[in-house]
Amino acid sequence: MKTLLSLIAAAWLCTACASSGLFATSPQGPGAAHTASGQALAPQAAMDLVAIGKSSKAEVAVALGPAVVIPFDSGKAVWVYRWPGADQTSRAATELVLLFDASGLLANVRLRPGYARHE
Amino acid sequence: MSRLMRATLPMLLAAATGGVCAQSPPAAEVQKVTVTGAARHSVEKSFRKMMHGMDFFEQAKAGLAPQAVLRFKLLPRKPGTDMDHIVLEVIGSSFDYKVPVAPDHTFVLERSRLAMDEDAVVSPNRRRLSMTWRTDIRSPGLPPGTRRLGDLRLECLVGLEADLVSNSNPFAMIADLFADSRRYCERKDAKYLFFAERPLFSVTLVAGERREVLPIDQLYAGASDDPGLKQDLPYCDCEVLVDRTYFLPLGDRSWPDDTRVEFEYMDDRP
Repeated sequence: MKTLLSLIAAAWLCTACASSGLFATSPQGPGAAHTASGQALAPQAAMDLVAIGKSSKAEVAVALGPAVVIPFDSGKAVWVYRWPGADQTSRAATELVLLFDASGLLANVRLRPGYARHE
Repeated sequence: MSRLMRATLPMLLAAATGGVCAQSPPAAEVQKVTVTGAARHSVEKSFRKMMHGMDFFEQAKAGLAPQAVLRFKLLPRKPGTDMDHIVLEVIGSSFDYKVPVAPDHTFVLERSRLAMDEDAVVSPNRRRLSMTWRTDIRSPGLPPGTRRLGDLRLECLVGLEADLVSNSNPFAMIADLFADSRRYCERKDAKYLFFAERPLFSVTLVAGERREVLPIDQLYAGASDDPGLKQDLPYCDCEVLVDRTYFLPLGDRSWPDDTRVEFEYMDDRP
């Protein structure tokens, strides 16, 4: 019984390891920034389409497409758009992260560069 | 099963091997302690295990955080938990005494031979699962809005050694298969949940000229890649603190212990 549980636990841990730090963004899925016509947007071009204190969630959704949305109990929400880097790790990915306040207006934004492997 | 559950499973197991999750102790352990009244339903911890954590801190601090001071910290786990006016007591079979709790919900434990002998519990007057616990280890002289990576590495180690993590997980039954909780904090992908002072917008690591913003999957308990997070939150001691949570590359030694961890909060002006 203990051996069986060990195998189950080991398999589970391997699954956890494999999923850690990796992500997949489909070209038209949530988190892949693109125009309403479906044209992919570069990170800086996407950032230039939003404005702190002015852009609403609806406007951003139209301008950049659907985001990966993280809602919070406070009413605030973080939206994320990502561009894969040299590998499929989240560390190597470029990210546009938008913070909306409880009223749905853009409160802050950052463009995080992807990082190369550190030697 | 959500990614949070899968990712933190090793931490849960590591925490459990430091003893057993204090929220669901085995019957044999409960019978050793005479616990009075409300304490039976409270979010208590083992005095012995917390002392064990303090002993470990004294042994390990020289290598990670020589100037650091250890405190313990109480955090809310359920919505509506009253974090003010907490009465914290050490309760043995023949005594009890109060432990002062600071306005920031931190406290220190004094060593007690009697509490050790009687296998006392450290018990706040709050219901079971309403709060969680962490260590609070800080080197002096850090600017506001920053932490030191070596301090946080030590928080993970001492937190697991003291059995502070209060996840109510269904996997404790296989916990005894894993023997070394210390190795967990030295893993590059360790998923030890840290809680910032306020809701986070970003976390940046700074070591000399090297500067990296953590990716979004290292914030908010990994919610960006975890559509199943919401259903698992009741099992996580981050349930009401998701917007304050972050993971760190604890086992990545390319980041030295003196690495500065800088926080940008949601309520900071852009």
